[in-house]
Amino acid sequence: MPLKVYILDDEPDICQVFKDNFTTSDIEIQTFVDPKNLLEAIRLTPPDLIFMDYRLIRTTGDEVAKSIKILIPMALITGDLEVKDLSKFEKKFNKQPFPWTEIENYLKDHLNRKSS
Amino acid sequence: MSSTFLKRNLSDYFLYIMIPVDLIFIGFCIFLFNQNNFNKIQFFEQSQPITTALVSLIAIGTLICGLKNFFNFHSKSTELNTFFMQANDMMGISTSTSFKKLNPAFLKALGYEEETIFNKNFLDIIHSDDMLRTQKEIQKLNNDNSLLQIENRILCQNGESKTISWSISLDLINNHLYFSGRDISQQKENQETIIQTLIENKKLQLELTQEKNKLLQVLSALNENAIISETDPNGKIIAANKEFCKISGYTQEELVGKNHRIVKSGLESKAFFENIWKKIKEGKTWSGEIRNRSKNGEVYTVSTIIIPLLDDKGQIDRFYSIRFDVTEQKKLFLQLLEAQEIAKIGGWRYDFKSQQQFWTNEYFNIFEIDTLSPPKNLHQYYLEHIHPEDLPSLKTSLLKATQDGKDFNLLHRIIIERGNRIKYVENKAKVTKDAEGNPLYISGTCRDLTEEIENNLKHQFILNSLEIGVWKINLQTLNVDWENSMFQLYEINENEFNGHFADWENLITSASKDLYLKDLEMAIRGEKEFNTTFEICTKRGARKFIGAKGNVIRNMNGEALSISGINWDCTKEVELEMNLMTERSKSFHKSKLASLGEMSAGIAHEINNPLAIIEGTLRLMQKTPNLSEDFKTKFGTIEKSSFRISKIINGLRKFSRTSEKQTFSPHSLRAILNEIISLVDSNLKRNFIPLKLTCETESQIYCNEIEIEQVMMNLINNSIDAIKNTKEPWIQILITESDSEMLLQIKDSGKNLTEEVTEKLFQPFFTTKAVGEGTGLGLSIVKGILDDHNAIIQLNKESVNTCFEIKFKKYKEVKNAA
Repeated sequence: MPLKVYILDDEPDICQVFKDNFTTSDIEIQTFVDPKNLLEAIRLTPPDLIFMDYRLIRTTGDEVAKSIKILIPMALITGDLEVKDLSKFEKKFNKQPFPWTEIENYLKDHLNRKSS
Repeated sequence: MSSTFLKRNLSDYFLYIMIPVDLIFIGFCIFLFNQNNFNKIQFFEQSQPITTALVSLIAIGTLICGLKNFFNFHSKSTELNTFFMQANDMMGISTSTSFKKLNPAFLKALGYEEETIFNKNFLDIIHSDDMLRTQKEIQKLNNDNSLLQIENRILCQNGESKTISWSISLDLINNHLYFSGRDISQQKENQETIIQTLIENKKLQLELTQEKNKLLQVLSALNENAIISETDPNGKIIAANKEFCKISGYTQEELVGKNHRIVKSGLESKAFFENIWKKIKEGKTWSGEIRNRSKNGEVYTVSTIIIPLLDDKGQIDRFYSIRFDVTEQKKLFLQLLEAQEIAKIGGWRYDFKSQQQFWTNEYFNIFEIDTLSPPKNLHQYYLEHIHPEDLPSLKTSLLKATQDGKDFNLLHRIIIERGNRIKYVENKAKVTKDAEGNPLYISGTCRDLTEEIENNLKHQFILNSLEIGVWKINLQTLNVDWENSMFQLYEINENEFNGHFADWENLITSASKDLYLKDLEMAIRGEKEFNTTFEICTKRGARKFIGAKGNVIRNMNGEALSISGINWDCTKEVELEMNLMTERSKSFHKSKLASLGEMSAGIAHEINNPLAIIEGTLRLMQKTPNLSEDFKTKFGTIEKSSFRISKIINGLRKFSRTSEKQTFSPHSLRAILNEIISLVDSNLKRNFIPLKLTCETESQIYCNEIEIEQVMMNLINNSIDAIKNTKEPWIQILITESDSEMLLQIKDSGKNLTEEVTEKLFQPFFTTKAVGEGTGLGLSIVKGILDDHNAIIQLNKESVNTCFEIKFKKYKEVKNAA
């Protein structure tokens, strides 16, 4: 079963470039711009991993993360140095703009976990 | 002529008549005989009986007279001798060589023995002082055969002299002196006495007259200028002068005949008048002040002398009053007393002879004594109530006043309520001396200064406690008075300060002198109040900031005469303010950074996203199979550029913060430096300055990453600014470590800084840059940040080049300590 990854970012292009870069045969990436859609999707089909941008329209990633009641591993991607609440996230990636290699490795880890 | 005289001389008369008759007859006959026609014989025969009778008569008469005279002469001679011998008058005859005859009275009077005196002559016994005069007079007798009346002194046997009144005649034929004299010594004495008495009487009379004149003049003057009245022994006015009328408002007619009570004011007590009457009725003069009332009801005060005048029998005939109007003086005096009372000034007098003191009411008040029951001996009381510690000063001051004629001026304490309270009084007095210079009395004033002194002491205490100095500059002489804590403030001894403004100026550092003088001048010109701060350098090299405030005293023309004020140590305040300013600028800096940070976050976010898209897309494109080398290279270029952008964004991002809280965390010093170097890279390249970082350690420090980055940025930028226009500039950063510390050295090609600059390097606002090129806050902020990190920054003094060194504690160490 491929790794199901959701990504929430208010910029569609970011979502697209993320999806294009990291989608593989083993990794399935679904993108969301609106947190409401993400939450609905999680309710219907919980993913294996969620990537979340910090600065969203009208809210922040950590706020959205709080609304997710199901226990799903979450990674925050942000350009901000200080984030209010990182407790929901197992990993934080700094936007530099994107730590491509780190994210790749992180995805690989989860894939391995899922396989085993 | 008496009958006796007639009888005695009848015969003489007979002769006196007959002789002329005979002569007439003879003369007639001769005439006739000489006539030519005269018959001589006939006449002779006819006149013969007449002629015979006449001749006979003459002969008889002559005979009788002759006989008579003879007998008379003889008896006269005896009588004369008896007279001579028995006479009381001194008589004698003297030749030019010796006395010829002297009567007993002569001998007795002068005490001469016959044996001795007859060897002398008249002139021999004359007093030498009278000799010349007597001789002269006697010589006159030679020319004029008159009687000489002369008084002279004659020497007695015993050497004494007597005054004799002589009658002297000179027999020119025999050259005999006939003298008769009387001892008038006593008379003379008496005369002298009488004359003396007369002279004295005359003198007395003259004096009396003079006195009388004087008295009359005095009385006249008194009458003109004083209020004069005479009353009978019962007080009825018998005389009143013009002045009396003037002051009392009554006419003479209204006054004379009335009792003196007419001017009674009713303000003096019965006892007062009874006292007066008692005294004057005893015949004694009374003097004092009396308040009377004039006709129109106004009260006036007269200084009065009432003199009882006695008649011949010693009974009081009348009372003579002399008065002077002292109403005004009295008023003034009362006003003066009142003023003294208001000013709390007491008057006193000490009489040296009686050793008594006299006090005014206010003086009693100062000692808080009831005037109704004063102490018997005021002087004793005073000595007992002067503070014992001040007694020696009293004695010294008194001595100075009496001997040296100096004014008596003494501030001393007095004891009130048996020592429970102390008062401060100031006594000022003058000594009055008599003609010989002996002190008679000392009189003066006493002022209660307790309140002032206590206030002064309070002020002094406050000033001293607060270490406030008081100063005054005389703007004309530029002399300076320093009081209280001035000497402590400036840390100099009193004898080291000459009291001149120049000395004071020298204590002020050159940096602040100009401003100080400018402020002073502006205050003197009246442009603003004197309120300034200046820096001084003490003997021990300490730097202090002194606060100064002052007031200018001006004369009527507005010219500044002096300025006086206070100084205080405001070093702490200045330092606090400097720190405050540093903090403010730091926080301003921080807030700038914060807003920059905010902006940066926004910018970072805005740039990061498109950058992510570029990078992401580039990655995909790089995965394209069979990519030509050319495309690979070009994609590589895009990647590098995008990497550069991201580095810059990341550098900026570091400045963004969402909270004020400083977060310390361990960081690699090398990583921080690398971060910064990339940020300043463009500045370095623009100025052709190579930067070499040598760091062989990854050791960490516990720090606020952003702040340390600020520090590095600042130091590097300073170096760039310092060396950018020099030949062959360079910057070197070396990081080394020891067990517990990390040393960061940042060196540039510039020469090492001077000592003067080094001293002030980290002071706020200190800058060597030109105006507008730097705030001067950089290094002070750097130091502040490093202080917060317990890191030490200093300039390497040994280095030839400018080399800043920062010592950090290694993170391991800190962790261990924590």
